[in-house]
Amino acid sequence: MIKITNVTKSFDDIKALNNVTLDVAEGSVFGLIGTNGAGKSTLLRILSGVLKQDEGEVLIDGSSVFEAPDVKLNFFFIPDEAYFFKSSTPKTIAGYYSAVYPGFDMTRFKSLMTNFSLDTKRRISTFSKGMKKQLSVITAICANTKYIYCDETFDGLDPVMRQAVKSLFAEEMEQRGLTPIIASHNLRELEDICENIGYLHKGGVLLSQNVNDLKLGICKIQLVPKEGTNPNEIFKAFKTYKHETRGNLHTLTLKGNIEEVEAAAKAASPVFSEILPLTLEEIFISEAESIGYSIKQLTL
Amino acid sequence: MKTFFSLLRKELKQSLGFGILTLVYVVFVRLIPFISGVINNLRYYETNPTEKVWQEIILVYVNNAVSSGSFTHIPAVILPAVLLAIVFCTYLHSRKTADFYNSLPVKKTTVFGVKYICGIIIFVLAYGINYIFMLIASVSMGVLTGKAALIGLGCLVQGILGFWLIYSSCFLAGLLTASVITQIVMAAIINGILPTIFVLKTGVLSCFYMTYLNTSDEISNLSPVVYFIKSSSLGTIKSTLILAAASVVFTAVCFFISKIRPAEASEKALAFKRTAAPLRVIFSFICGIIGGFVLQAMFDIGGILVFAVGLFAVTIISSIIIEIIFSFDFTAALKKKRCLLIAVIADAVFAAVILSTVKPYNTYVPAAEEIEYASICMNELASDESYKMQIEDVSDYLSDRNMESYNGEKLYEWSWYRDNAFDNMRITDGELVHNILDVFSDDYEGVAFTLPDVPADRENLNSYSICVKCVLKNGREYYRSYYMRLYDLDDYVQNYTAEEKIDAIRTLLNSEEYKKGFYSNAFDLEPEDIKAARIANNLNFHEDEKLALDDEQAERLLTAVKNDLMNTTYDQIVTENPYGTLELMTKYTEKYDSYYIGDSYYTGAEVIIYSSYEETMSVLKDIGFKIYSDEEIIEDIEKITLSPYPDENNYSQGLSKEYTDKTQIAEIYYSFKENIGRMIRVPSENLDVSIKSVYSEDSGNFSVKKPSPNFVAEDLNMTSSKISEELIVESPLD
Repeated sequence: MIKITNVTKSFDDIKALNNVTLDVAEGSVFGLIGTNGAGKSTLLRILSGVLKQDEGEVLIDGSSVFEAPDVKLNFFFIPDEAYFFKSSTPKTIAGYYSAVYPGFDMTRFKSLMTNFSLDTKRRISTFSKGMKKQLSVITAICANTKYIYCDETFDGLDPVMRQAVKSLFAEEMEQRGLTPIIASHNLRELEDICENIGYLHKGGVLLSQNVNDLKLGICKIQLVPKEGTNPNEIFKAFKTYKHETRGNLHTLTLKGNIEEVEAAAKAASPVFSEILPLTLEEIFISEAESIGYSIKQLTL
Repeated sequence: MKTFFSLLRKELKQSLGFGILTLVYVVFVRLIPFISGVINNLRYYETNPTEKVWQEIILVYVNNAVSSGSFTHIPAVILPAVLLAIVFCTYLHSRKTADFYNSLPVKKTTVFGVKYICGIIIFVLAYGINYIFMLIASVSMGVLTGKAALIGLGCLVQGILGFWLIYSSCFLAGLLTASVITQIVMAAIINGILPTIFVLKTGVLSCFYMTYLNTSDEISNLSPVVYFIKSSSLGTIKSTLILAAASVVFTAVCFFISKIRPAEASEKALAFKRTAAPLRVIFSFICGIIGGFVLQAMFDIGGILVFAVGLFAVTIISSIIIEIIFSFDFTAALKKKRCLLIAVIADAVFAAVILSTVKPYNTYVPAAEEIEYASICMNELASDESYKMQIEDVSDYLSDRNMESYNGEKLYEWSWYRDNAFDNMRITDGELVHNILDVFSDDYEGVAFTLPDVPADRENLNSYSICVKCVLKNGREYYRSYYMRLYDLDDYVQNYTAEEKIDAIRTLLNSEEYKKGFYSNAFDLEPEDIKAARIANNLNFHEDEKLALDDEQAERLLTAVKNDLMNTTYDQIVTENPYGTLELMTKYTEKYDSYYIGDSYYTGAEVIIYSSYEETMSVLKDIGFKIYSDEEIIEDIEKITLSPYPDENNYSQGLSKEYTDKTQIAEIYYSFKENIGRMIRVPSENLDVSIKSVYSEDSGNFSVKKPSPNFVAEDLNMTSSKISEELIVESPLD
């Protein structure tokens, strides 16, 4: 488990992280969401021992990570711009990692490289951005660490590759309990993979919650009320996050569980009503607005 | 440890390209010059091999091939050290590499160690392979000896240590900074700050002619680069130990800094915030001082005011520049006002110190009882340069060419007696020194510069620049340059007349202590040092004559020379024309004119001899030297060609006249005989004299003081109307 407690980090006059507290449970995918400059990369760099926090504590399985090579054996960090030695090939890189990660699986590496159609003897400098990302993910998987920190790793991958990587993570999670922490500003790409979400904004944590729990508390309903009925009246017992109208069609995002909202709708005998699935984005916007942040500030 | 070696292997593999480049470079700057030098000398010594001499030459080239040989320090050792340090520090300067290395399950110090040692291994391997190549080349050229190989190995070790020291200082610079530019600046600061202080000290002296307390020149050795360059002159074992110790210290500091260096320092200017402010202040302060000196030297007048303007202006400008470099932002030029203010305050304090300590000493003449000893040197040509700078130049010149060969035997450096004299002179007669300084300083407060209202030609007439170094009993040293005119000015009230000034010079030159110092290169010799002697006639149309001397001859000659030198008077010097130059040749000159090492000739002591040196001339004749009388010289002259010296517009008058009649030749000879070598400062009064003798076609040019005999003046149309009356000044030396 990763415990982040009251972590603060400043760079000169800029406070990158301000009193951040998060817990990352093992065996689940943790999504670190935030706008540009929210502090995601900084938090990941602190988690990987690159930076030292000014205040607070970061414990990985109970141990501090900074200047602790033994603790660092537990994770593999994929930064947003990975570094590869000049004129190196994937084989060279794998060789280097195998020297520092005792559990590095060279056989698996070769196999994954083949599966992803990447040449182990080709110079990495000739790889595209997406190919480099793929290589980073493959080396991370083959290092056989407990945690993988991905800083905007999915950015740059095509949809097919994105899915392939997600499948890879899922497989590893199932087989050996891998815990990926994925930082991204793109909620849509994390939609179907993250189980827990931490949302950073301007160095602070806006919310940190299980996705399902988040979804339980909000629902979206579309209905055509019967003539003379006001939808706001129908759902006055619920907090309305959003209300869109197109003619007679009303779409409302409400705080409350699905059963209660459905029951309220049914009681009003609408011409038409349907519960719609919420995207993570919609959930976030709603939650954020409830805390006082408008969409203009968040700019997802 | 396993991880360390594993990573080191991988790092070396990745750096293979650098390694090959380094090897090629080392071969280019070391091995190729070695091979070509040996081949050139092989040809030269084919006909006259002297095994001992040859071995010394080989040792020189071996040293140059593997170590710190003279001018090749910089390209051969210092440059690779700097470049390799930059290359292996790049991992600290980029965020990508910082993230990569710091996230690995490897200690920071392990990564540092791998990078650090990799650079050293590359250099050691390159030089080691170069050494082996050198041995192979030596064997193939048939010049290898066991001694040369061993000495070469010793030199190699010293060269590697020198590299290590400079490399570690540059690596430290890389750890303290976070970009290549700031690393280079920081390396310059680490290597240059203390020598800069030393240079500043010298600069202060040169600008303000101040007295100052003795300070150690060793401060320059606190720079790794400067120490390495000078280490060859300090003795092998001592310098090797110091290099090694200093390298260990720097490496330890690097190790410590690598541990505490924050990863977020990458892509900034400096790695540690706390070093930024002090560096800003130091850098702009030192730049200000240098700027002040440069400005003062350029304008050369009203020293202190100009210096102060330069001091403050350059401080501000350099503060702006350093701010731009640190922030990579032009708009941040005056961001750190506090640092600038501190630097300006430091400037003000420095200027106040200069004003309070330097200015009062400008006209100071020490009392007789304050004087420990003095050295005085008079130059022929006018100079308003700093005396101290001249002497420092000379001292450096002498100390660089140390008096030892590679097997420790003493050699004597060829040098002008005047320069050597200055270094060795000790005039302890306080009264004499005080009086002479009082006379010298009578001219315009004693500070050496020309009077602006004196015509350019006239100011060069009959005046002398005199350099004085005076060591006081309180430990201070007093340096002055004087530009003393030996004629009376109508418009300036002087305490001493020209005649009194001449008397003062006469007293000085007649002083035993002065003569002993002035001719110290001869007085320092012992008879057993002298193996041969050579005479060069002043007129240069007899071939130099050299003879080997046995012990008895050497002793007699040296005794005679010392006696005649000690009896030399001022009047003798100014009235009598030298016969020529006698060179007392020391070891390694049995068969050759000089012993050639590198680019220097090693001979012995050179002294001017006069016909009136009866004892010396007698001994020289006994030994077998041909001493020519005037009649014999005239007999040997076949033709004299006289041409007027180009006039003030540097336009030759186009006239010349040849004389072959012996009577005329004799008249001409006697007329200029006393003035050969005395360059008259009014060009139109000079004649170019070209002599064809039975020995040589052209013995060069000398000057004639006046157009005489009269038939010469007529032949060359050199009437008095051609010479400006204003420019004719009777020399008090007449």
